[in-house]
Amino acid sequence: MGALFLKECRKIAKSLVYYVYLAAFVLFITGQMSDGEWTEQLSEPQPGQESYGYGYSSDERMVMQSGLETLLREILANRFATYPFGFYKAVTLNEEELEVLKRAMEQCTGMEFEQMIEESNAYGMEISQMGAEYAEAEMWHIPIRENLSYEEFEQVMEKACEIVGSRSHYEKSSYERRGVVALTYEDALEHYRELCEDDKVSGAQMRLFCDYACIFLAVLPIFVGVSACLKDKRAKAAELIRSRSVSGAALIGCRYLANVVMCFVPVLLCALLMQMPCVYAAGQAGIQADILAFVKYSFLWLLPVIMVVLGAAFLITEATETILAIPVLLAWAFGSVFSAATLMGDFGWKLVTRWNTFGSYGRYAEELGQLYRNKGMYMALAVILVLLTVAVYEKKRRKGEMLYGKLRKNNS
Amino acid sequence: METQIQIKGLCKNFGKKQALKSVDLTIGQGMFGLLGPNGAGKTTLMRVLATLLPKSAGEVRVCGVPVEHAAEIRKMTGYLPQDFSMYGNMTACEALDYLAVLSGIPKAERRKKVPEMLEKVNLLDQKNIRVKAMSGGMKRRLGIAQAIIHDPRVIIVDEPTAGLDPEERVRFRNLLCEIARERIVLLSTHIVGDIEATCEEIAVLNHGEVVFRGTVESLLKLVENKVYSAEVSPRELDGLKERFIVTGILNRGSTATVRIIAESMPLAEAKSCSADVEDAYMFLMHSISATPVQKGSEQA
Repeated sequence: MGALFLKECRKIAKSLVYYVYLAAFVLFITGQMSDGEWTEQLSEPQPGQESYGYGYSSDERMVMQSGLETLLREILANRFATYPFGFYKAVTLNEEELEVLKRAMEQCTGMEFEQMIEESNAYGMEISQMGAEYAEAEMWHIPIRENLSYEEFEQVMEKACEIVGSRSHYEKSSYERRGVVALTYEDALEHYRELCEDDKVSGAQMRLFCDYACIFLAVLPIFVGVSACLKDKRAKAAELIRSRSVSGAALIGCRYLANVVMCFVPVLLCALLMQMPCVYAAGQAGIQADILAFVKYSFLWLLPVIMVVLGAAFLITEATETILAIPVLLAWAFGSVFSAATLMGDFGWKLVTRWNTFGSYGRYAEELGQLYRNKGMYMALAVILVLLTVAVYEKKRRKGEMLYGKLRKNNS
Repeated sequence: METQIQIKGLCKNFGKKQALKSVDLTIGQGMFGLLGPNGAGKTTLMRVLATLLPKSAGEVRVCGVPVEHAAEIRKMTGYLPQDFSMYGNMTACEALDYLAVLSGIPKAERRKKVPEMLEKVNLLDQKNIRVKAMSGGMKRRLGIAQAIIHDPRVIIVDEPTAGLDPEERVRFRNLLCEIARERIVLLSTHIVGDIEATCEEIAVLNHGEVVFRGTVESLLKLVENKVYSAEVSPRELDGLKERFIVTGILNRGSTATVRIIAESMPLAEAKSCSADVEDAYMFLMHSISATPVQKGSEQA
């Protein structure tokens, strides 16, 4: 088994597809991770600072404000973003539907809709006149009716979702995570404490790494897996290999494991390299970084993705002996990426789990349970897919035909 | 343990098409030739024996083991498929080593056996040549090396000499004969010369049925005193072909020397000559097409 595993690794290391995988991964991840903005967060916040940045809030008032502002912006453009099957689709409403939403806005704000337009336009004008200094302008926020209850707001959002369609910003899972708030000194200090004590800096950096790497790893291993499975057929060696005494479980198991290891090792190395400047910068700032964060996060976040994508690629390719796995799994990966209501958390059962921010350990800790469940489920699914691949391989070996019944060419 | 392949009433169907029709054969140690035209069922029979196809009916035992016990059969058989190929970017040495791993040979043994096998098939000097850069003959020799590396008791070789030049073909046939000393080597071919040069025992398959089973001598007996040679005018050729089985024509300017199979003297000027296996095979196949299944004293 060990010898076969090593031989399979060597086979992969000699394949062009694998080098494309490596090059694409390194280019993509270095491009995304080269931004060093996080270094600013290594300084302890001081009282009296002009700004402590922004953070997400689950405060109902903030959620209502953010939800209504999104609704106002989309009504004004009459362009409503939806993500059916994970893909972006702009929805345009008719006058009657727009009117319903405008009335709902009035109900939530207690203002005439025309007045909202005027105030919004005035803010826009102010910003445009400020030129490069626009960041210093105080943000305009839509006024919310004093006695607006969260239940009433939820009903409005439900109505909006009904009109615009599912997978819009008005679904509960989406608007609940859109509350943005300016941080106070105390908030910023708490964030700093989380970063230093809970995340040990490198944890936050590795979550960001995993966010980008996860997108990539939901896509590129498909090609590696399909190429590995079709290699026998392309080399016209399938029959010869089936005639050997090796069991289907050993052959498929070793091939699968070799693919997982060969896809994962460069990811682990990249994670280590990406973590090094962070550990160094943390040391310079007098913070003890977690030097093993790259191992913990890569194994938890990325390995299950590689495993399940390769498992599915193996099964589909072995069953069909075609490249069908590529469009199917690409659709799955992109569907998962585009279906994300937020770029931070809300892991659910998504293949691509996002955390596109540096830090926010508190919220991460709240969702960690679901992340474990998600990753555990995908690992179990990967094992099932590999077992099914073994069954398909053995069936083909016994029957001498394709799974879907097509007879092999008979040269007798 | 017995060294014999026993096939009783073997049938193989592909949908409605019957590729093998109740085949009965017993194959002992040494070289055994399976002859027949394209589409006769040779490859199907080979693939059933190599556990790559399930049988539809009948009984097959390889050295006493039923063919259904695929794992056991694979350990004791070496298979060289008709169009042997391996990963193009592997060298001869790597390809052989990889296939040895797939046959469960431990590392220490592989280290000894891989060069040994490459030497046996005269590829040791080319051990670092990639499979994609190999000639047809080199590939076949590598194919034989992989088929015997795990020391199988049965070797199944499907159309091994097709496409080889005469020198490669002779070298390959000699190699097979060497290997067959202590094993069963089942050689399938439609090239009569290969059978004539290597096999004592043969079977002829046609349309999935065994139409002859016996020794090469018994096949030759079918055409004893029936092969003639004559010098004729090229204008007479068409008429001769209509009346007799013509197995050879050698044009010599205004005349042609023809080789004819006939029950009695076909032409006054014809001379009787010794028969070869090709004559016997042609006579057999011609007889079958005249009468559905020809069965002689030694025929199946």
